[in-house]
Amino acid sequence: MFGIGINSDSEIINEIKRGNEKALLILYKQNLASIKKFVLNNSGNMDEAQDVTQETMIAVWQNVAKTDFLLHVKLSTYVLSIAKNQWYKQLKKKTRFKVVDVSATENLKAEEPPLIYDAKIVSDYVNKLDETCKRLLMYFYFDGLDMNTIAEQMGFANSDTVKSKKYQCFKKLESSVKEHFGKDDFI
Amino acid sequence: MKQDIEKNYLIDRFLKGELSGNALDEFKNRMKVNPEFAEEVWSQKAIIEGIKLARRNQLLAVLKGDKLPSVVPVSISSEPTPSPIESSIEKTELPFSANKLKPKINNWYFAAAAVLFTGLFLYFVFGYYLPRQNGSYSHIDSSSNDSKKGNQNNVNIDEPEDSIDLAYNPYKNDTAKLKLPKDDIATEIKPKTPEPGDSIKIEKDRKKAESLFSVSSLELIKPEDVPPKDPNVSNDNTSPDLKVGEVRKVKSSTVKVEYWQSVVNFKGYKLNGSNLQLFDVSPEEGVSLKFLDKHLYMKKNGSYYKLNPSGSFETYQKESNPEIIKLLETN
Repeated sequence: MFGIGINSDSEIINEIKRGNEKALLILYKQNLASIKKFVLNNSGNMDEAQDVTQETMIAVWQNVAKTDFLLHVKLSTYVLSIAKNQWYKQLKKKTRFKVVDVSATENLKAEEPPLIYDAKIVSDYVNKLDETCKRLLMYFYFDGLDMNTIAEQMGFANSDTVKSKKYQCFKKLESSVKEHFGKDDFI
Repeated sequence: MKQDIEKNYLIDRFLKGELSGNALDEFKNRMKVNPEFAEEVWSQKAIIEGIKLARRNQLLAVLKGDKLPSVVPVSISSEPTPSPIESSIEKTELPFSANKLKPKINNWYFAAAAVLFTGLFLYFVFGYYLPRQNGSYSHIDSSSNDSKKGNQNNVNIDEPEDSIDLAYNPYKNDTAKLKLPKDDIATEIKPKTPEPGDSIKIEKDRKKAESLFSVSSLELIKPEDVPPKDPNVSNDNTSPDLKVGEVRKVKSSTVKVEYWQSVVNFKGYKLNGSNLQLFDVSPEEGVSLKFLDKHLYMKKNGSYYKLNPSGSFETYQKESNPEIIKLLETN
């Protein structure tokens, strides 16, 4: 579809695990039609279909990047099942049913306070970081890559180096955020 | 410093839900008794949410085509090895964006395929189909020059050609397209309406030898040929004594004889004027020819055969008239 000899399921998964965003694009194009068809056949419109497709890609990206991810079906089948869940969630929101997020960690539910920083503002500061820090933090916190994989992809010596560098980047970001808000603003 | 790193990492694990058992209890307890630690935990969580949001927006921008995907992750000390997928998706169309203006790799493949297909089509039409429609049956391989000659429906047998076009029995029909060989090079012939992959490989007739015969001509003496006898004239030894029913030699003529080997084992001849083609007769057999009363006879293996000058292929007909045989034998 996109060229010669590429985009098998295993190749795409491997590239996503490496943090290659173009693999996500391929996955997106491969599954766009089927997801759109599903949403349109289930009371959705084109905009909703596009939103669901994008959300599905983000979810698949995060799931696949996990070290314990194992695919037992065709990747397209897996993607469509994620898309169906995404669409059912949106349908429930539309019909004002309560959405239960079963994926939330149990140990945080009781004591977790509201976020003390505005995530949007923090994300702006993330984008102001140098590319290495930005990538490293994103790989670790969003993509879920382990230290060894990050070390391999970014050319660090080992996982300890990654851990140290990640800490430095995190502190750099944290200080920028705190400096922006002032300590009293976010406690 | 190392302790700070470990503490930061421990909080990460807690926020990811990776702690369990005693480690989890100990962590929660530490948060209860140490408000600064708890504040640090929730601060880290808020920042992590900001990082996630930034990454999420980044990926969505890639999907929407607002941002080019970064193919190779940022490298600190060395370039990671590019994967096979990277090189092949460099120009992948990005959805919903101005990046659609970028060259589409798929289109290049389609264009190349279209050019190839067009070339093959033109080759088929001009190099194969139309020549078949306009030309003769024969489609000679590259070893023959006759393919340039086009359609030659009536080929004289006296003008041997390099190819044979046999749609019919050529030996029974003068108008059949016949081209006799100069040599015994095998020729590939394809029919006018060929089946796929169907071709006929035909060996050509082969001329083994040719020679010129000086053939004596005998003529039957008819009554009007015998002059009336004058009883007053005594016998003159210089004038022949003609008797009706006998023969006399009138003249000699030359006949060109060609010995041919037929690929279909045709046994016969073709007599056209003074040209005689013999099939299934070898020069070593020592045939002889005689004209008797304007009819050509061939003697072969002690038998006489009357050759009909029809100009077409005929089979050998043994002469059975004993009187004719006697005349041929005695003269």
